[in-house]
Amino acid sequence: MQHSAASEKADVVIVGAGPAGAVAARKFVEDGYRVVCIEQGDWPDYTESHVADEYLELSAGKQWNPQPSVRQAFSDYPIDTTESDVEPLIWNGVGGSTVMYAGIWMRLMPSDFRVRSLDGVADDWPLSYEDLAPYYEQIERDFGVSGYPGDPAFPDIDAYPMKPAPIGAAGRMMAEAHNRLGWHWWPGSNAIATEDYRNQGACVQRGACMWGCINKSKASPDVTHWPDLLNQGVRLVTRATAQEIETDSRGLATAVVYVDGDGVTRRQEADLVVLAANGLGTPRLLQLSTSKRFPNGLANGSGMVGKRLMMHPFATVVGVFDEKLDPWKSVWGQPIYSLEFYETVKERGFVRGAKWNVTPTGGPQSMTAAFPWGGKSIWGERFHETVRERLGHSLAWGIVAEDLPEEHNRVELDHSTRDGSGLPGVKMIYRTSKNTKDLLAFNVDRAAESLREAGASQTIVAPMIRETGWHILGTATMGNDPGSSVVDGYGRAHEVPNLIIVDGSTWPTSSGMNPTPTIAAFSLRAAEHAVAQRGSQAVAS
Amino acid sequence: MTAVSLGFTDSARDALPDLLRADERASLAAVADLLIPHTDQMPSGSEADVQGEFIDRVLSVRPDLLDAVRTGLAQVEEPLPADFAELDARGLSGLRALAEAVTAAYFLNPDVAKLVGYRKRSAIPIRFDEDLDDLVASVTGRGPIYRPTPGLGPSHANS
Ligand SMILES: Cc1cc2nc3c(=O)[nH]c(=O)nc-3n(C[C@H](O)[C@H](O)[C@H](O)COP(=O)(O)OP(=O)(O)OC[C@H]3O[C@@H](n4cnc5c(N)ncnc54)[C@H](O)[C@@H]3O)c2cc1C
Repeated sequence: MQHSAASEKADVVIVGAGPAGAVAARKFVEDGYRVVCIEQGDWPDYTESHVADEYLELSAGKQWNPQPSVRQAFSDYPIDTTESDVEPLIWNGVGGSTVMYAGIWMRLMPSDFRVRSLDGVADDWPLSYEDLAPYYEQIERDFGVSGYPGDPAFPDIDAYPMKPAPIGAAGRMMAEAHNRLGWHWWPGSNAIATEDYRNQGACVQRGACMWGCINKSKASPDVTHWPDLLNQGVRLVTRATAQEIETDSRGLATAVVYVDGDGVTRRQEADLVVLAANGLGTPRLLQLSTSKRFPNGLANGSGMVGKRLMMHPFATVVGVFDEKLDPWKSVWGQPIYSLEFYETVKERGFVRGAKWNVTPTGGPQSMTAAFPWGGKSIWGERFHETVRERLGHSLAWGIVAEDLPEEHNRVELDHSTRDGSGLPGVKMIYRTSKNTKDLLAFNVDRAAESLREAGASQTIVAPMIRETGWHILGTATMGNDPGSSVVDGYGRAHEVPNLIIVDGSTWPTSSGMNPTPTIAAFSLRAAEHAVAQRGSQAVAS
Repeated sequence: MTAVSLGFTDSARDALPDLLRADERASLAAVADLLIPHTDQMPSGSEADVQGEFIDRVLSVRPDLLDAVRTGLAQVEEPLPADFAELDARGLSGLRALAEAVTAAYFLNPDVAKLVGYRKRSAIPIRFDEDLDDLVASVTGRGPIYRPTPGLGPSHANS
C-alpha cells in the first residue's frame, strides 16, 4: 500500500550517490547546507567480492558485472538497447558506476573544450580547461590519485597526491617501443592509492580493480566520500528511487518525489535540486517530470533533453608476446597511456582522436571473453595452444574514441518496461558515426603497429566491442543559448533556476578521455558557484 | 547479506542438493571433451572432472548458470558430434554459455591452474619505479603536444 509522506525540508536534495553527487554533497555540507541525497541502490557489499579467491572471474559474470541487464539487481532499471550499437555499463548504488570503474584518471586537454573553434565541428564548451584546472587539483586530492607529473600533453599537471603505480613489464615494454617510434606515452594516472591515503588502503596489485576492491585502494565515493559525508551530517537515503522533480507555478523546483525501500512514496522538499543520476538517469528523470508548464519534460524547452548521446566507442588491440607479462600481478587501471593520436590532424580524413591505455588481459577464463579479445570462439583443437600463447603473455591497447554529438543518438522513456518501483525504463537509440568509425580504424592500425614494434608475435583486433558503454555523455547539454542547450556552464537549468545538473549529461562534446575527473571537477565548480550565488538564488516559496 | 561460498569446503558442497542428474553429468563430460580435448600436456575437460566437483563449484558461485548449462546440454542431441567444429556448426543458441561454464570449471581444477601457470590473485606490495625520469626523457624532450585554448598562447600540437 502506498501513501505520501514528507520529510523535513532540506537546503539541497541531490539525486544519485556516484562521484557527481558525492562531490556536490561534500561542497554543500562543508558550506553549512542541510543536504539529502536520494539513491536508488544500496552500498556495495565487499564481503561478496571474490578478488582474493579463485572465483574472481566467475563473479565478474554476474554479481560484479557492469552491465545492468546481466546483473539484474533490484536497483537496475530496464534499458532497451535493441537500437544501440553499444551496451551501457553502469552501477546503481552508493559510489555509482565508479564501484565498477577501472580508476583510470585523465583530465581533458584544452582543445576538448574548443572543438568548434579549433576543428569546426560540434560546439565549444561554455568553460575552458583553465576554468576547470583548479577544480581538477582539488578533485585529485579528494579521490586519492596516483600519477607522474609533467606530461607534456597537458599545460600544467605539476603534482599528484601519490607516486604512480609500477608500470610493470607490459607498460615498460610499450614505453620502450614508443620511445623507439618517437610516440607519446606516459606513466598511468589512476584513482588508485599507492600508499595508505585517507580512507584508501595501498594497492596490492591483484589486478582486479573492477570487481570489488577489498583493499579500498580504488577511489570510489563509497570509500572516499560517503563515510565522511555521513559524519558531517548529510542524509543519504538508499533504496530510494526518484520518480519526479516537482515544480511550482513559477516553474521553480520544489521537491524530489521518490519511492522508498518499503514502496512508500515520499517527497523531499529543498531550495535546490541537484541531478547526478548520469547520462541515462538524468534525462530519464527530466522526461518523467512533466507538468502543464513543462509538457515535454522538465527544463526541455530546447528539446535537447535526452539527445546528443555520446558513448565513446571502444576498440582493443591485443598483442601476444613471448615474454611473460603476468597481467594479474599489477594494478588494473592503466599502467601507461598514450596521447600520440589524440589531437586532430586533418590529413587523416577525420577530426578529433583517441586516447590509448595499456590494459591487462586477465586470467584464463577471460581468454574467451569479448573484452579484450573480441569474444571469438577458441574451443576445440586449438584451445590449449591458444590459452598457452595468450595467458600471461599478452597485453592490450584500449582505445577510447571521441564521439561527436548527433541529435538522433538519444535516450527516451520506454513505457513498455517498468523498474522495481514502477517507473518506465529507457530506450537508447545510438549509432556510431562515420567519423568515429574512421577514427577507430586509424587508431586500431597504429596500435597494431605499436605492438609489433614492441615485438608482438600476433595482434588481435576487436574493432568495436559492444559491451563497453562505460562513458555515457551529452544528454542534457550545456551551452550559453537556452534555445539549444539545457543547462549553462555552471550546470543551472536555463528554465528552472534552482535545478542544477552536475553529471556527464551536461557535456557538449565527449572528448576521448575517461570522463570521471572532469565530471567530478565540473560538479565541484557548479556547487561552488551555487554556494557563491546563494544570496541571490531564486527558490520556491 | 551472505558471503557466497568464499573458501568452499567439501562438507558445504556435500550439503548442496544434487544440481545435475547423472545423465546430465555424463553428457556434460562428453561435451566438455569436445570443447577441451586431451593433449599430451593437458587433461581433457572430463579428465579434469568438469562434470563433477568443478561444475558444482561453478554453480555454487553462479547459481544463475544452472539453467544455461541445462539448456545447452538439452540442445546437444544424439548422436554427439565428432569434434568441436561439428558441434559449433550446429549453431546451438545455448552453446556459448555452456562452453563458458565448462571453461570456468576446467580452470578451477587446481591441477589445471598449475599447468597453465595461473594462481588466484595474491597481494603484492608496491615497489615504485626508480627510473621514470630516464624513461620519459625522450617524451619530455619533444616538448608540449597539446593545442592550447585559443587566445592563450602558441600551438604545440604536431599537426
Ligand atoms: C566498467 C566501467 C569502467 C569504467 N572505467 C572508468 C575509468 O577507468 N575512468 C573513468 O574516468 N571512468 C570510468 N568509468 C565511468 C565512470 O564510472 C563514470 O564516469 C562515473 O561513475 C559517472 O559518475 P556520475 O556520478 O555522473 O554517475 P554514476 O556514477 O553512474 O552515478 C549515478 C547514480 O545515480 C543513481 N540514480 C540514477 N537514477 C536514479 C533515480 N531515479 N533515483 C535515485 N537514484 C538514481 C544511480 O543508482 C547511480 O548510483 C567506468 C564505468 C564502468 C561501468
